[in-house]
Amino acid sequence: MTYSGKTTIELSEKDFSELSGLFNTVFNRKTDPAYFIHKYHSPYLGYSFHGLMYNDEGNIAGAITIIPFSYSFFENQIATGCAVDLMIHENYRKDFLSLKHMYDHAIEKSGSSLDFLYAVPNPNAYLYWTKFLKWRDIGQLNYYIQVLNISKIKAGFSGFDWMSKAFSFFMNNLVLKSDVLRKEQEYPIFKMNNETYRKYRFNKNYAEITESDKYAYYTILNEMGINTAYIVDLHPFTKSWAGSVVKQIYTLEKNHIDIIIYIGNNLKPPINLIRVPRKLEPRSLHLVGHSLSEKIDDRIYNMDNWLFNLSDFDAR
Amino acid sequence: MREDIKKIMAVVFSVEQGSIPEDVAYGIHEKWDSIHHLNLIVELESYFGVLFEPEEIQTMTNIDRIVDCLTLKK
Repeated sequence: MTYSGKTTIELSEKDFSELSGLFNTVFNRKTDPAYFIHKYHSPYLGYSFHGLMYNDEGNIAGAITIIPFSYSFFENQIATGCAVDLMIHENYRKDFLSLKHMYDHAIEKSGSSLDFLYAVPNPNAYLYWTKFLKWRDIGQLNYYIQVLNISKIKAGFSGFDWMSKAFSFFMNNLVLKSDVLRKEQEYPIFKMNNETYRKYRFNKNYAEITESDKYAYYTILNEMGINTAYIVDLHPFTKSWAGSVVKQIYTLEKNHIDIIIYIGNNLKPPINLIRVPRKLEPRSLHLVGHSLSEKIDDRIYNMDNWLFNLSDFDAR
Repeated sequence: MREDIKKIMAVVFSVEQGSIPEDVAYGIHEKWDSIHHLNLIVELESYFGVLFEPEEIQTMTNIDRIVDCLTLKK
């Protein structure tokens, strides 16, 4: 096995093709190289950093990618890197250090261009990040949901869909239309959310909800038979706007979705969203991070300082 | 100590303790992969009341090395 660090600009057509093929194999997805060309085109630097593992035939057998973004950290602009798409072909998972080698090459390639790295690893990879790479746990993300068809979520509840539908209808109609309750929750760490970023982040797979200066994005995915509307981002981050967004998604999509989900932190849930208790979460999602710069201090490891949701880490 | 380690391995790898050979090693035993390795480390830390550094974790790839590491910690 050999390892290499590259920027996206240095990736060849063959590299993109192999990355796409590896991703489809490891995650059982159907992507094409164009998906990765767009995804790795960071709105901040224009490219990402890749740690690559090649097999003896010279083909990519493992990869990790760090996509640069711009964040505000207590009113200072910082460059962050979101670690994504960690994948190793199952035939090449014997070497415990493979991930570390790929990670080291990606970091070396990034030079001094990044101040802070973060990731939301799956529960299996979490230990590797925290225990072995010594990244620090920042905090656990919350799930907020509105269930429309409970039979799809919970086996044995097939006769109760009318009840969950009635509950959704009732709760959504309790949401106030006015902005009387508008009080924006402000957090000192958040992504810089400009037009360039939104153009990069929200392609045709996302639906937009707008109302004067307010906006939200959501996408509908079939998750193992459950039609799920994910609220990916919302601005401003207010209880009333969150409630209004959920209500609008319900109105537009109620005939073909089973559940509405918002994943993030610090949201004061509106009346039509329920926070899922920890023990009922489908999987625990932890934000972990690692500082590379003296510009960063320990305040970054406090989840209460972050405004963080799916738009920050889930690039589907 | 070896029997304790094998008992923990059996739980982490979800196999019978008796099926773990004396020369069990990372990458050789079918259940001992990178994910189970870290789960094993966490369980060893909890059982023996120690903490391992990354440099130690990467060397603990067979039962003899685990015993050596634990002996040095104790």
